Amino acid sequence: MVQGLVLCALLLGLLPLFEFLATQGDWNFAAHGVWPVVVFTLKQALISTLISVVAGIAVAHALLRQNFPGRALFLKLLALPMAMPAIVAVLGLVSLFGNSGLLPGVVPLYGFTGIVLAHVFFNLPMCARLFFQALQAAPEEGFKLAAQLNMGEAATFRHVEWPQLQPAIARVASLVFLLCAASFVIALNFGGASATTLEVAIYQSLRLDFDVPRALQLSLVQVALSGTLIWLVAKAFESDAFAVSLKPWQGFRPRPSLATRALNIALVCAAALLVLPVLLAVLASGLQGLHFTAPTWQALGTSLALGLASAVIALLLAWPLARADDAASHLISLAAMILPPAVMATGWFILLRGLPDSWALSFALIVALNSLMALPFAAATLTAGFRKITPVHERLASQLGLQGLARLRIVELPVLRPHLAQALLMAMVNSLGDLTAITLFGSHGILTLPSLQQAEMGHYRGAEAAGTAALLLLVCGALTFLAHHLAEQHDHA
Amino acid sequence: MITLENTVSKRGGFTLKANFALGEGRLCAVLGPSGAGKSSLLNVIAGFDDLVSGRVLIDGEDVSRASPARRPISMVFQDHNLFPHLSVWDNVALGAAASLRLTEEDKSRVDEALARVGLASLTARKPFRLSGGERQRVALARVLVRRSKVLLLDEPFAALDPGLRAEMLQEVVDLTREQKLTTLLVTHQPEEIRAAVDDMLFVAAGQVSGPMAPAAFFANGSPAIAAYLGLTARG
Amino acid sequence: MKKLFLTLIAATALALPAAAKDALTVYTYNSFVADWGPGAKIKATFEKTCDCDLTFVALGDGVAMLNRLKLEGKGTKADVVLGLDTNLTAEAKATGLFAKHGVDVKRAQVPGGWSDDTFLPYDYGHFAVVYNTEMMKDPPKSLDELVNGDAKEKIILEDPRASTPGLGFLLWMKQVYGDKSAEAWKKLKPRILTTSASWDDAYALFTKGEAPMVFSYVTSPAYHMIEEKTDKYQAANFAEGHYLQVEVAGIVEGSAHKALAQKFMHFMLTPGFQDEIPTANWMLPAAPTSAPLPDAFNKLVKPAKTLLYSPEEVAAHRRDWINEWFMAVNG
Repeated sequence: MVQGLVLCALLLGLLPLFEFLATQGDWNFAAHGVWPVVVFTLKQALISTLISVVAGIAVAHALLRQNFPGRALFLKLLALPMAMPAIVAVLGLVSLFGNSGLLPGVVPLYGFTGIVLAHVFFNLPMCARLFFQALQAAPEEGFKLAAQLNMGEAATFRHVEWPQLQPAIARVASLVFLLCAASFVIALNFGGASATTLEVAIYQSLRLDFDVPRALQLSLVQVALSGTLIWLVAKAFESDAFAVSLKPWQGFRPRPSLATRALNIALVCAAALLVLPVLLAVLASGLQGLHFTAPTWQALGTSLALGLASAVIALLLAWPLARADDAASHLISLAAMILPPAVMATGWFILLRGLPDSWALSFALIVALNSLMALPFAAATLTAGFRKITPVHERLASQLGLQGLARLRIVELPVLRPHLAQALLMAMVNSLGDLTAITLFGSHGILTLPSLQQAEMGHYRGAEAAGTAALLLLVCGALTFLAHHLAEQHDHA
Repeated sequence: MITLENTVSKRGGFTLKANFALGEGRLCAVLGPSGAGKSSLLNVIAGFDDLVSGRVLIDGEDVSRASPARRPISMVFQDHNLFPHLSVWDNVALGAAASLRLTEEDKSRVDEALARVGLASLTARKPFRLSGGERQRVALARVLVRRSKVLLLDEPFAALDPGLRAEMLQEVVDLTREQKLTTLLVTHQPEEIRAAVDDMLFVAAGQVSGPMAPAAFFANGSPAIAAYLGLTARG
Repeated sequence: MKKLFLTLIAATALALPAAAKDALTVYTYNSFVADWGPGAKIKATFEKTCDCDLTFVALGDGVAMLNRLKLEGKGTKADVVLGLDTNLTAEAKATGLFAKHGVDVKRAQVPGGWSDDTFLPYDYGHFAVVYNTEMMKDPPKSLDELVNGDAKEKIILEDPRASTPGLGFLLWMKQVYGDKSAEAWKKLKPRILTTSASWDDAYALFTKGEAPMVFSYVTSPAYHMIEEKTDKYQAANFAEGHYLQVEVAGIVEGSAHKALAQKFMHFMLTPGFQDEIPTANWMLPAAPTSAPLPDAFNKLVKPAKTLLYSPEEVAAHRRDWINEWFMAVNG
């Protein structure tokens, strides 16, 4: 049902564009230098994804095994990079590793390394959080059996934890790949002109050349590439069975060897060193520029309203997709990332141009696009939750004749509550940091924190822009803590 | 033969005390109200919970400090006994070598064990295509391959229907006798296993009492057991 | 989704204003109406003289405005479009969506004079390489010195596909080097720290101290002198001359308020509008202001020569020139 609706929204958006393509298309790609762009897009996205996913698993595993004071806090902080507009992260990384930074020359920031580093900064924390969630579902009995059967740490990982990770890997990896493949601000600012991704080429055709057929052609190349890769990843990590457990993970866990413990600590420290200094740099450079003028309040209010509306809609769309938990739903949840938002937005715009242009229309379109872009995050989180609802639950509910709202309230909500809070948060944080939708549809003086930050940057007001970025980070931080607090309160009740 | 000498163990805020011995080839039921420490008792024996004081001996050998893998013990749970991504055969073979690199002799032992529990025809299946009873048989086959001296069963048949439960119970009795195991079976059906078991342990409020013969257990006048069996008038 | 659209339609229906006074809708870019931009004061001043409602609709930048207009076609609500530059006017004219402005072009004071009867300028600025005097003692004195200079002293550029100054620099290179511009780009390449997605990004990296030079405007130092009281940042005067950006406005052909729109175009070249340009838009006024410009503006570089392609040339060659640049810097 929702699958169909989301697909309809997307296809409707593309329909007017295909009309352009049919009438003015020219398929000679080689002449336009598309090939090197495709190669570069793939190369940087694959390497960034590989590092983020492998390191994300390692960090999640280490975090799960290694309890330390502040672990819960650290996990919460890992939600924050996602909230940062790309340029804020770029400037944060520059404060650390740039020519004028604290550690100049430690990492060659301008070039391929910088692009990958920035992508890993954004995506490793997200991977770690999602894998942490997947690993938590590993059943206690598995660890007991492994201990009894004299399995080493590697075998325990292979037999007990890997089966939990396997279905999550395909999802998380495709999400990260899409995020990296669509890189624009990071790719250009660190890579310069040679770092042209398909997204940049699409932007050029759509904006500068206003060549809709070419933008659509390039989008189709992107769709084909991403689609194939997602399919391959899904095939590679296909699993025909997975254990589900409701037991809290505080049960028996093997004691890691000294070497493993050292490695775990090293991994957590490395992740902390990647994420925390950038967050601190953004806060430190922003705190003196923190200001509360009328536009700040207006942007804060609009951001929160847009974020909440987008998150709620994303959640409603994600619910049936996560519940179905099949390949089609997975692909649909990623649709808004596979199709470049700018292309989709153009289609929507052509469709709706008969409607009177108004503040409400702009607001609604921003919410619609944001909720589609936040959908994969919400769906990934909710899917993990739905997997905890065992067939036993399902049978029990059917037997008791629990349906509709009653089933939701009695069977699903209690299990899903922490995941719902988490999904809502991820969707909201994602929307709060978004600049794409606001750039595409933001007229009538709709001002959000990222667009205010951008406007300040565009007017020589670097210090104020840093302050707005810090405020955005603080707001997201506060929301993260609130969401966790709400989820945990219910867990303990 | 298993001996718990004045053991005290803690998990969270819960303390469990035990002091008893059970001979080889004997099947002992572990009974008691929910949350009173039955599973904790098995965890102490298997080495999943650490001892605060006291000793655990198997055939006279102190295993108190040994890791779960070093103890000649197998444990079967109500669920999750099988690794979902491995075939039936591999799941049993794990009992011989965790690396799954088996000698020819090991391989024939795996085949024998599977034949012994009546699953010789299902060796290639994945666990999700087995019935509940079949899964528990796979777990028992692995116990055979491991050549354990002590078998710990934590409500292993709770999810099965009564006919199947009786059948599986008989299988456990036979294995215990045949392999000269010492078997502890946690259950909530004292009447059902009454005729099959040799001894009964009663765990209540963190204290293990027994072993006692089934007849003695049912005739025991202690208020805790009477309450557990539902013999006292509630008011 | 369906529900969403229904609410959306309902909401927009309610939002339709009851037209009492004559209303003028002006499409412009975001920073024109930002809190610190010139928009609010200009609106107030104009409304005092016209007994009308002036509404600014902010749409990203010049390119975004033009694209929006193309998408809306004849159905557009815009009466005036303010904020295109001369690199876009040929394309804008070709849409057939613009009417003649009817203002005497001699009133527009921009380098090289003005003759376009469709678009009217309201401000202008020369591009320039801005450098950090604390990091660089000996700035390049010509584009050629920049191209052939020390590769250790870097410059931050903007991408011509995504940014107006980026395109400006590309055209500047083309003006100076002509057929040899690909070679010049290859020589310049080692000096480029990075090519940012926008002027905002490039300037932020520059003020953080990432490189001693950035591609910006001649007027940039005025901001730092007036608002930050520092002359740390200066523009380099290039011997070959400087490329010019002229910002213009035009009347939409299908406008229902053409008379009012023409009134606005007139107003645009009076002090009521022009007074706001220097210190709110940080560009140079295209007509007299009521008072002399702040002193800082007198200290700015005065380009010896103005470089500019006609809108038609830009429209005809832009795509090829961008391709040439792309191949050169990727070679």
